Amino acid sequence: MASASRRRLDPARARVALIGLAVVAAWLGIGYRLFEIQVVRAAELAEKGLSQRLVTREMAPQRGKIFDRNMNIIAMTVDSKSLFAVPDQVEEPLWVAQQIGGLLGVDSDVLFDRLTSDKDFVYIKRQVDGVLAEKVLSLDMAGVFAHPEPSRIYPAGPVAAHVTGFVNIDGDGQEGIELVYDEELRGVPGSAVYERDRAGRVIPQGNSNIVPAIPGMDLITTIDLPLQYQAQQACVEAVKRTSARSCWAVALAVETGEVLAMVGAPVFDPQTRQTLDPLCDRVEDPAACRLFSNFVVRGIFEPGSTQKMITVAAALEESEVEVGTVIEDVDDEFELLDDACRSGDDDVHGCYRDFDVHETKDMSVAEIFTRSSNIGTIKIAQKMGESKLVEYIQAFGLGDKTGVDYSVEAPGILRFDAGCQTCWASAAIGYSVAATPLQMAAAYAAIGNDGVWNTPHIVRTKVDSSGETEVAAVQSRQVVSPGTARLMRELLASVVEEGTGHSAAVEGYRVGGKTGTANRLGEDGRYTDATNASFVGLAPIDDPKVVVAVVIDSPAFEYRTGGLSAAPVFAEIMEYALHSLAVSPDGTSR
Amino acid sequence: MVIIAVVAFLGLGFARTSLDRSAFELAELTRAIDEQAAINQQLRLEVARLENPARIAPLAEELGLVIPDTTNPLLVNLDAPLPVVAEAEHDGANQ
Repeated sequence: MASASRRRLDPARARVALIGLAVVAAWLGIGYRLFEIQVVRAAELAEKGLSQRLVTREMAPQRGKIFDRNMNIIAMTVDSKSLFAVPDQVEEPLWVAQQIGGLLGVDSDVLFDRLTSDKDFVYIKRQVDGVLAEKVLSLDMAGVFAHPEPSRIYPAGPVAAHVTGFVNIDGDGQEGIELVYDEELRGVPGSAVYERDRAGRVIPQGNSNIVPAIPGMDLITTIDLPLQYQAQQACVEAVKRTSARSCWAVALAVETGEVLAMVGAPVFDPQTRQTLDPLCDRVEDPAACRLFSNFVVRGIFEPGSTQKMITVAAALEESEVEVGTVIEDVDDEFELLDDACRSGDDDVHGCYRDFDVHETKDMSVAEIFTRSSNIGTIKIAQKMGESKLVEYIQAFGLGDKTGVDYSVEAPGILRFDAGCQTCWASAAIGYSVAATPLQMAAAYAAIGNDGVWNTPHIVRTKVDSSGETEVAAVQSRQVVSPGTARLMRELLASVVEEGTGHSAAVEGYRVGGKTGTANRLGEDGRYTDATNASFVGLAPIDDPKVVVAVVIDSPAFEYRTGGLSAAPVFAEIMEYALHSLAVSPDGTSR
Repeated sequence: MVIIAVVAFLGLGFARTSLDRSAFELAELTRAIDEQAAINQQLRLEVARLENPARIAPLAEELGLVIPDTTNPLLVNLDAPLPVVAEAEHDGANQ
């Protein structure tokens, strides 16, 4: 009887035992799970959690500033916001387009098309001022957002446009200083890795690693901003007065090759890349007025009589002539090839004429230069020979890039075809040669610098984020002797005081220079009546500080010569330059 | 021992919250610095725009100012003897 009762378990005790087993099993399960999470998969889960919390953000470097020589800012980057939309989330695209379009000055029809497109993301407007962006965001429109984006600003507007160039919407240099020094200006991106919570807040004491961005280098240029403005105004007025296609001017410091001003007209706004000159409206082809390209550095023109400085300087340096040497029988017409002038076709090479009709006469070298006699200059060049002439043209920097720190410099052209019997004569008077205004200015600067040619340059100093500076290296070479340079300066002064350049005179200073009037080639390769009128000069003559070159493209017929159109512009720019640099007058009045 | 453990636990918690509070303050200061830097940047831009000669020159012309077309240098002879200036009479009230 007792064994039977032992075999039958008490149901209550059995239930308790079962519950106990279940609890133990549950605890064992929990324990196993804990062990699995905390020990077996600890590393894996910790890493997974960290990856969910970690955020990696690239830190864009601040693009470097550009200053003029007096530390006026001419380009800088500011923080702005770019407004964008997620079309799927925009609830009332028509209303949104009308509201935002009005605020931002964006065409509401264009905006509506973007907001109703099937794209995941569309820009409304990039690089908007922060205050304006907040105004848009305060309208609280679904699907409209903003993200920070730096914006390049040019506080001087069009004044320094032909120096700075410009960047594209992404901040990459496209033209000018912005392009040449793009790598130095852009800096090095940094990164920030940090932990954030579900709300996006940074977790203090969490994992973090910050590599700061290295800002771009700042550039201090050689430009004098007020002179740049005055020179630009002079060119703008000249284009209006002479009905020219364009005007280009450059001013260099004689002793160092620093570019003090570099301007052109019509002007453009580097912010919008739109030309600002209403005169472009009356040009048959408005696209021709989109003159973003810097002609001073990139445009080539036949320098005409301004080239004669090189020819005469070479002859003096080679002792082929002296200033007082008399060249006999200088006619107003000269045939280098038989019957070249009898063909009746002015484009037949080998026929040369002086601008003024005159009888055959003996002329001194000084008179030939002062009166700008083509025939007399050719006869001077004849004494030297072609190879010597070419040697000096190249020594003065023509036919090769100057090495200026600006984008896409043109080397110019020296046209000496094999077997060409007339090229040397044409080159002696500024034809068959094509140079940039900068090359001509640098050549004349050598005359002002006792025969030493310097590389023109625009950036004087680069400054990195730690304040370390890097000064531009300048290359120099002796082209002619100081004695020859001094003689040439006196000849250049005589052009202004007695010759064709009297409009270039500056009150209180002794100025020297040379006018140039070269017919332009048409599209058919024949010379037209349109001219490139130029003047290149320097002052004060005894100790030159500034050289200025001015080129006016296709002035109206009554202004077609360098003396009539370019020389007055030169005088205006030179006068301001000498005053602003506080150069002492040397006492000679007009 | 229990009391020590409790005190240590509370101390650790206090230290941790202090650190977190300091971290938040640091983040706030960093944000304030960035804000001031942005203001400074805008002010530098404003100064640069105000100094633009294209803005100043027309305003100057409106006011009747002109760019001088002549310079009048003042030459100072550093080798010349200094001029003798008669002593000013003393006013008793100024002593």
